[in-house]
Amino acid sequence: MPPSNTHRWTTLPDPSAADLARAAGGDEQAFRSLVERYQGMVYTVAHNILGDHADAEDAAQEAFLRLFRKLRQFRGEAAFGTWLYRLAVTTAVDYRRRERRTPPQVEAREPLADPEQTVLERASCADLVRAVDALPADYRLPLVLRDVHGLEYREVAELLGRPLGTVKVMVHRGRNAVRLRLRATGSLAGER
Amino acid sequence: MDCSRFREHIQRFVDGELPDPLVVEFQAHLSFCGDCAAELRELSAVRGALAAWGAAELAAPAGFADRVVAAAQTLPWPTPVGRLTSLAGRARLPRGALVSTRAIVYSALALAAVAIGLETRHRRRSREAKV
Repeated sequence: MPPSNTHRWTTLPDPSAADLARAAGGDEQAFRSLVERYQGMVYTVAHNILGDHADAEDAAQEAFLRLFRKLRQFRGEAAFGTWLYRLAVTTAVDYRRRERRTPPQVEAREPLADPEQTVLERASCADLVRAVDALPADYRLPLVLRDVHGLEYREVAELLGRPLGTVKVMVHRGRNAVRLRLRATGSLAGER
Repeated sequence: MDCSRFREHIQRFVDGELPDPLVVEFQAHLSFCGDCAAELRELSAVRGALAAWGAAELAAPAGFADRVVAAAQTLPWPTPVGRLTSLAGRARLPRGALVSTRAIVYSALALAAVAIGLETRHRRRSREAKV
């Protein structure tokens, strides 16, 4: 089973309780420190979900403004990174729902992070991104949440407000469409 | 060979959601069905590639943190004290000395607290004197 990316990001050390309290109290420098610490994670989440740099920046900014308003509600029951990660995902999903635009064909980013994934030696990042972005929006978003971000099906269904069975069908069809497209480009030739 | 029933199992197997009795049957099928085995390898590879894609962290655009903090400053601050103590910069005193506005705000709040305390004690003593 592929590792959950939620887990990867949320194992970063949390900021101290004192830093969080200062930011929650409106200390500008403390808030800036949180933004600088987590901007990569929040921006990446938004970009993966929205597939566009400009939209990702807007959504990431919106996520931090939500954080600014809600920080006092953070009770420390989950790790701060987990809490912020969920906030970033929710904000990006809300942004997608509101804007309802088809993601443009984005430029691929290189290199992919995990050199141990043998398939990545064959499937270029550009092919993978193109295959995902060619999916209908109804398939792309559930697939990204499930396979790129490692959310449980139940969580994806809750986020999207869709029945669990429907979400599974969307992910399966999206995953299969990506497979067929990668095979057509020769990226999966070694898997047969 | 009719693989339709097993094709339905492949995605559930990739997700780790295929019940154990069906896993045994499915694996037996894979041992002699090259097409299903290849499809399973491809789907597993796609899943691994997607997870690796998500694990690649992007750098936020240059100046992103500055823009977020600037946008936050236009919002109501979470607490009134936070708003006051967030005032950036310094104030110049009459003799030219620079003092942090935050220090001024905290000093003013402390003085106000002392004044309220003194006033409360004065009123209590006045009431006691009348009695």
